[in-house]
Amino acid sequence: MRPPFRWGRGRELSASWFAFFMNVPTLAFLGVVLAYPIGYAVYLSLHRVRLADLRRGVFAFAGWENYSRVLGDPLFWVAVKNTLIFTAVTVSSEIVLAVAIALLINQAGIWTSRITRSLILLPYAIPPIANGLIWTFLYSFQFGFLNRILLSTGLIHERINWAGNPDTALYAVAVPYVWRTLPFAIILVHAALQGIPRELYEQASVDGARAWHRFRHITLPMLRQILAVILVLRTAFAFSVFEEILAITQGGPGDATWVSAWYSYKITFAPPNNFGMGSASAFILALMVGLMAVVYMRTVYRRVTL
Amino acid sequence: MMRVKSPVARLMFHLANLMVIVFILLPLVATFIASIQSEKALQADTRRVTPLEFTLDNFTVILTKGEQRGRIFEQATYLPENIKHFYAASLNSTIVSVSVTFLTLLFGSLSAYTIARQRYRWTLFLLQANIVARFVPVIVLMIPLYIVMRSLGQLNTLTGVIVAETAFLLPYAILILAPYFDTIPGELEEAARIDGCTRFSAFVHIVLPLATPALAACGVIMFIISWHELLIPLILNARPDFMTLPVIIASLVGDVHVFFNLMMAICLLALLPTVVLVMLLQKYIVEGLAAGAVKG
Amino acid sequence: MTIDRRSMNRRQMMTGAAGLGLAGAARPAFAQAAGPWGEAPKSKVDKLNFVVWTYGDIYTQISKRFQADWGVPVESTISSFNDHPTKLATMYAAGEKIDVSQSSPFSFPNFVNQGLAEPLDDLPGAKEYAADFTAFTKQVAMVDGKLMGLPYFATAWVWNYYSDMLEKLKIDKPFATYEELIEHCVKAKKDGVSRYPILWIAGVGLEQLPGTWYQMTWNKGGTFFDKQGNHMLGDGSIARETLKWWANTFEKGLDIADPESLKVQFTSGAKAFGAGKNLYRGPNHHYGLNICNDPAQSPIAGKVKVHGSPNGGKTIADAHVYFLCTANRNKEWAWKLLQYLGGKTKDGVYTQANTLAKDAMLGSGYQSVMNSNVIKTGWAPWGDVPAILDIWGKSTYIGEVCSSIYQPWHFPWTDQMNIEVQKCLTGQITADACCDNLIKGIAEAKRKV
Repeated sequence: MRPPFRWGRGRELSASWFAFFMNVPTLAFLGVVLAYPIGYAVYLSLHRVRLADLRRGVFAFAGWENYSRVLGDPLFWVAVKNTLIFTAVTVSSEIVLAVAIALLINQAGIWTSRITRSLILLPYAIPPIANGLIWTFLYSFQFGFLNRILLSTGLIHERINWAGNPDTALYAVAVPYVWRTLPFAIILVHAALQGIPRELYEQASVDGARAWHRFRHITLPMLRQILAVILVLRTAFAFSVFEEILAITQGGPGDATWVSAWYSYKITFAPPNNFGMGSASAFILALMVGLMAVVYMRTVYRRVTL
Repeated sequence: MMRVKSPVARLMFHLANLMVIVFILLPLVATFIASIQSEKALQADTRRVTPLEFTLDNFTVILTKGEQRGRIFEQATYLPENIKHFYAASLNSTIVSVSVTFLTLLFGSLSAYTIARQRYRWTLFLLQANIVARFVPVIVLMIPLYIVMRSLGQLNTLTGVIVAETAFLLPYAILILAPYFDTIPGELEEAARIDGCTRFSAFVHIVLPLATPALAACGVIMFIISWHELLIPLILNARPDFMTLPVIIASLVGDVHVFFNLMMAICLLALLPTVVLVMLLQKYIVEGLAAGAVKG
Repeated sequence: MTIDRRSMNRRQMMTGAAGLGLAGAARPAFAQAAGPWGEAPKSKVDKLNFVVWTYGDIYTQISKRFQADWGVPVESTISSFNDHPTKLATMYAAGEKIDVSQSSPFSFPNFVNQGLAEPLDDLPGAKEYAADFTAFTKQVAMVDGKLMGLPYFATAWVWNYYSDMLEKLKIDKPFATYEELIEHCVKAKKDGVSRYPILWIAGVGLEQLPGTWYQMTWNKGGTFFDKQGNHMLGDGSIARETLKWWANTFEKGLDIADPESLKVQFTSGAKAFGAGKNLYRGPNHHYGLNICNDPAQSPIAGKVKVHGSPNGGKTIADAHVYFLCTANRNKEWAWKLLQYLGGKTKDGVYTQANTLAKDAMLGSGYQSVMNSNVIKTGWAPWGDVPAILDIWGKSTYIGEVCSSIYQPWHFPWTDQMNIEVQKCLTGQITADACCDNLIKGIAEAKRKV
């Protein structure tokens, strides 16, 4: 039973009313800028919405038409396929690299590890769009920094077309993305490493266990939970990669790097500005991400929190 | 933690470290090298790694809004319009990031505190809602957000961007702060309440001061994410007076007249503030990131 | 004077245009202060604005000039060429006031279709402007018989070559046939003079990659659609054969095409060519010369020459326009501003067109400017003006080659064309598959509108 709410000098708010008032701003923000627009996105996706309609503010009901058009568009499926490949590649390499680098900076007696540790967070500071542009310079076929290094050191004799070759373009975009988002994963793994009790290792070294063995049977099991966290979070975020695509390839060459977020952006904001189809495709992306959110909440976050 | 003894193993570790350091620094070194040369120098020898010349003209032209063109741009008939808005964009970015940081900390701490202290079914639900909300990608909401802001008359304003970014970041702020509040022992507030403090003043006077490190950690993360945000200001604001730095950078992507030298210079200028922040407040960011992903 | 392009064939159009040109030249081209452009509108307005894509500081200059002449401040929203349709669309949908904006010929039918552009026929002086339009300007600016815009600039597609490299190869003159083109490139590669002798403009865009294909197809006698609007991409069609030939210059074929081709636009292509690594630069906008031949930007300045196409030099051309937006705050004043961008200033001079010709080597949509000394002296620092004007004379509007540009679905279809053709050029699919996909894509593009 909730006690009645009363204003009054000296008489205090009850705990539950207090909790409610403390959350009014949050609820307002989430309502106006998240919940309502999500609902509205669904509404738009079921209507015919183009430029002139927007200016008039009157939208004709279109039923499932937008969805059937999106699902019937071969390019949409290319985008979904590319998104899944991109996600699989970036997330798996991030997990491997994060564990390896976290172990590396965890080495006490190696002085270079301290330098690495102090630099780990640097990519986190780079704006994603700037990161994308920076890598366009690294990748440029004619003027790029990577080809300059490889040619002048004699490692290659013919220029490599990093981001312009349809077979490698998606991976070429994956590298800067991993570069920028890796610090997050490393920090989580590193924090988890600190939490592994020393006794476990001491016990193992008494048993004469070798390095690989220690990693396989002590470290890795202790990291399982944090790796699950990284897996789910990074998967969800990689689904909606946008800035690096915009800066480096704009979906090309051909459709080699056309991903879901890019599809929604293009179909909405390039003529003929089909906001209805854009909303429908964005909502499908939201469902993919939402699925990850539910997985995260049910399995990972809940177990470790509060 | 583990002492490495064998010299071969030590060498391997040094080598591994070297590779990681090169990987981290390479893009930034390349950016710097491109930014101190002219377009012509970059084109003249396309195999050269080290700079052919040293000039600050790229920076000068941006920092003087195109008025001092220096040797490189002396004869250029074209300069991208948006680089002339560099100062305005920096100011906009600062206003947006500071406001968003302030608002997310303010509202986030109110919510996080109640979530940590008050165990009602609805606070648990709120926590779950925040977890889900944290996942919502901006791209999904850009269209309805655009229309909502339009009907609120907040397109082409900084307020619209601030409100939108605050809402997007609030869930994350709450997830970072809640575990911290959970670690502060409740006895302190109870003692204060016995002395006649209200719940709210106990929160303000007892809990918040104790949570300063958490607020710092959360604040710096909010600032960085907001400083980096591209899509929200890109979609909500079409007018140059309200552009933020990432929007200006994005506008160079489609600008066929701009060469790498100028692009890299503006990228360097735009990433400087957050790089300084990250280097100075590393400890807080590490704690905040870890706390936001799992209970700290 | 209005002409319905659909009811008129090309021959009539050309004669009509020639007649107009004479009429235009007969009148004094300069300083007619006594025209409607010199009179102030009766209504009052506190400010005006325009939404355009970026080009140098011409817009700052013209805004200042407008305020000095009429006392009305002008606000501008300037984005990059590729962002412009997005910016304009979002501002329009947001309910903002837009007095004047700009369009490529490809987006224009779309903007007109969506109700963004205001017809100009009844405005003071409009008929005189239309009478001075060049042939293909008319084809862009007249929609369904109505005058919908004034020209920003015009351009024709030309070839470029690097003369020093040609000398080094001991070839006395540039190619006259496509066979010769291949021959020269193969030799340049074999002799080690150039690893990638030819740079195409095959970057994603509305007229970049598509323009290259349109130009060569037209030059070889083909089109993309017939008069009834049926596609001409079927088996054995000229467009299809052209694509096969084109794709063969890339890595999976002769391997003479610069891989950078798939990335470059007109201007960035000129910059890349300026590095002096290629022999030829494929058909593209004529004004790239003012970059390759600019000593401040290009290591090979002065060595890049203009060259016409094989088969008698048939080529394509187009014009971009400014238009009066239906979201204007005051039509009379917006028309005044529109003239500052696409017509005459208060003194009766085509100020903007003249400036663009002198500073940026752009062509004009007006006969009287094209025939004036401004072009002859203004373009001279960068290239052989008579040669360019000769190519210009052999050009046909791009809409004759690909008539879908008049359709709202042209935009999504071009998106697909960029994708499919790039896949074809990189050897992922054959030219046949590419054309088949594009044929299927017409129906899909219609569903996206």
